Amino acid sequence: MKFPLPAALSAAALLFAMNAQATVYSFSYTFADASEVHGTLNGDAAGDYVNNISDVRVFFNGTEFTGTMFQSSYDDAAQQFVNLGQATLSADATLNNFAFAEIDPTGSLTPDNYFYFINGAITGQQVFAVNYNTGNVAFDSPAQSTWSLTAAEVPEPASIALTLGGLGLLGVSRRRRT
Amino acid sequence: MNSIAQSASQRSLRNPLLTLAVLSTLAGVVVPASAVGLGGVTVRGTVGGTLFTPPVVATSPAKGTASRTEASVFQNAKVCFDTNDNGACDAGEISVLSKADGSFLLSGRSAAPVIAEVSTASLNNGKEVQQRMVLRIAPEQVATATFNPLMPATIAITPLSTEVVRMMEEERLSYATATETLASRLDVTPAALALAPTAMPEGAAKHAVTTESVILSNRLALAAKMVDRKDVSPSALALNPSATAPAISIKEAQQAVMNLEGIPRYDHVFIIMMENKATSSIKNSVYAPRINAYLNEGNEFTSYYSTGNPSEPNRLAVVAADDFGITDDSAFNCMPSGTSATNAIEDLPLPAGTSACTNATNHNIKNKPNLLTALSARGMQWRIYSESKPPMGDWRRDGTADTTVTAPDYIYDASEPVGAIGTPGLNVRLAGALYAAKHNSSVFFQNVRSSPEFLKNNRTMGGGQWDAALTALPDKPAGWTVDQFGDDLQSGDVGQLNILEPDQCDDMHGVTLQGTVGTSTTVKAASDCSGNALIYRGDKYTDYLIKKIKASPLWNNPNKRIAIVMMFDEGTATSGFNSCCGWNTSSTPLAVGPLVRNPDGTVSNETIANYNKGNKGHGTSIHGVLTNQPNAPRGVQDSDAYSHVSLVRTFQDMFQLADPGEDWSYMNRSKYTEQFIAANILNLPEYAGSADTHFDAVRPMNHAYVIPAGYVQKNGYPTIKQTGPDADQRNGWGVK
Repeated sequence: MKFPLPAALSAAALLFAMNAQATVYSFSYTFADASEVHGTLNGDAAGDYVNNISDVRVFFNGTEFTGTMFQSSYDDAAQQFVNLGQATLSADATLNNFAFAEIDPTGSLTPDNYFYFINGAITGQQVFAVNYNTGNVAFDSPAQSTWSLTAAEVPEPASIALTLGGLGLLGVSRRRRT
Repeated sequence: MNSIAQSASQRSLRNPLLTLAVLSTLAGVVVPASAVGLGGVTVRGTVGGTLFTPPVVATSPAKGTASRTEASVFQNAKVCFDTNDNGACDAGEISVLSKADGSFLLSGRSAAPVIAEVSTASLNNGKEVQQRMVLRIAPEQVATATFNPLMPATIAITPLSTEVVRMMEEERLSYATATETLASRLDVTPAALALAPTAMPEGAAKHAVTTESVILSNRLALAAKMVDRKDVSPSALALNPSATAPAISIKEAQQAVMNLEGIPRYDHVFIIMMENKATSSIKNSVYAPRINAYLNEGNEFTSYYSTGNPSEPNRLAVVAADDFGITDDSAFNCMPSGTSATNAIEDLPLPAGTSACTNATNHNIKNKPNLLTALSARGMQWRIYSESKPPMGDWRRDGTADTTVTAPDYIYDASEPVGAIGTPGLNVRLAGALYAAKHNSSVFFQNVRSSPEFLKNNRTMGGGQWDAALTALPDKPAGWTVDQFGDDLQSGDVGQLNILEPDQCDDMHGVTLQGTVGTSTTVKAASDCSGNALIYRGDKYTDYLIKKIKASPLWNNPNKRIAIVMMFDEGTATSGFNSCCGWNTSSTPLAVGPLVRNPDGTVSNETIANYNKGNKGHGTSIHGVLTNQPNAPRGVQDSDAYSHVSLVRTFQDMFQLADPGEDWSYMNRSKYTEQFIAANILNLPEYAGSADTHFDAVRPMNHAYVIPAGYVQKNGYPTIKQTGPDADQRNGWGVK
């Protein structure tokens, strides 16, 4: 019987990856006019917030925003989007302060498509999504109570064991055939 | 740089796209967003304005309902990026409909002017819109409202935002200057102009903005009407008066409605109405040095004709362009025997002491349009200020004599033109009819007397001989003051049209004015209520009123257009060409009544008893105009023929109470233009034999007509009649 090295390596790699990678989050928001934004991102839970956000994908009324999404937060006093790469995201809508845009939202050019959700003493609470490619646009101020941010489902330890068991059985069966 | 300009500039710099939008729009070029590489523009906000409910006239002031103005939003207004800048949301231009709360969200690739088309499919605070209009907003205002290029600008598209754009286009003003000018005119902050009226807190600023919004909405509606019926472009007509194309654009129309028939919009006009003096009695008279100085300072209409004789028919004509056959000064309740069913007085009870009155001509004019009701119906105000009006009296009836109300005789010294006259110590008694109901234009129209505004808009005017004595009277009504006019000049609570009626001594009419000295019972005449002294007294009172107006905050705000008219109700000529311009000529057959259009569209003459005796005129008198506009023409001598009927047409244009495209929209005889008479000559037989159709017909006082070479005026001062055209054709009502 030969040890199924490739399968074992694959399983080990999977386990490693599951321990090292950030959590996948899903988010969604439905505007007052029934327009809808949803998407996914990777991030790390940190108290009420999600940090280290990456791999943002945004769908607005079913159409995905083009390009790699840049992220930033909003400086209410300066009335500018700032802190490129540092969006403030929370399951609590009142803590949100982010923009996802297909080009740098802190720059001087207007992206083709972007989505922001901000709370500011001056600006107030605003949610805005626009896709200039499709003409879709929606705005709420204040926001509806439809904001959702949830971690995507993560495999439980039992299911990991089951997977490993399955991989083992697979290796045994292959050895018997040889 | 002011704060508004600075703010707009800074925000524009942070927003290259909007900066480009502003520049490209100003240049009349629309630059697509692709020209700068990416993105687009999103604006959000409100389409707002006002909902005006005209007054409801019942049978008396107390039973009617005052007009109401409320801030409003427009639902189903079409908001678009007007890419081709033609003032219309065309197919292919990105547009949205405003929601029930007036809100909209508009997004597009191209930076282009934003407009809102309010149509008859729109709702104004839930009420059907009767006439469409196009609202605009300056790109600079959008830029100012853009706090960050990624965030939608929050704007309010309103009649006032439209007015700012119009002013920018008319005078090539910057956005900041236009905004500050309009704000100054309305006594509000520039920031208030950027708000939807519904977003404004209650107070004076909101009142000013909503009042202006109503006025502007009416003009913008007319502008849209001009476009819809394809009026010919004014610029084309300027080049060729016979041009039939191209059609007027919305931008041109929105300018045109501010200058109908060449008469610019004014904010407030004060008419100082004097009495019974022909031109020759005043022009260059040593007894009227001040009036003559003002005539030289301002502009003069040198062939201005009264329409009737005596005062009362002229007072009617000054506000209604017709005297309806009245040829005496009888009270408003006088009417032919047996006509009480149709002419019955509705605002009962009659003033105490009023006797029943039978007269061959009806003096209770019913259901006839006039400037006063027309102003009220369109959200504007009128005032009639009367001097020496006892506080307890009824506006519908002459003031009564009161021997206990006295004032010192006016004393003049030898240096004055009248010489040393006056009796020291003479206590001159308040005479009857110093306040004369016949001189109050509001008294003879049932729809004015019954209107909710009648009591509110008839107000006192000070500067009179008996002011102190009247003020000292006990039992005055609460809030009564002898000089409401003075208070209103300070507060600005005056009307668009203000008729100032001095008492019958200060207006040069003259009454029997007597008094006694000390305890003596010997009655002695006052110094100056007859003869040449009467003119001098009236000259001084005119000067008093003009100085008072000129000292007011209104006059001294050049952003408000203010004018003073010095005029006489009538001259003294009883023969020859007594009148002009819509007059009732002496040709036969004589008119039996004014021309009216029936519901089925046919035209006929209404029959009014004795109508053929009215509108005959009473000769020429001086008519001068002063304005506070620094760039207005000065020294204009307009010798074209005008009358009270012309004056009413002028005010209808000035306050946009009529539509020059619709002859019948002008009230009563003011529609009798040369063109109208020609078109209706079969129903206007009195004009059939006209030897001078221009002289006989009505026109606004715009000095547009160039008098032909060789034409000899029908009247002249003192006897020399001008021949040929005027020295220049500047408009005496012009503002620049």
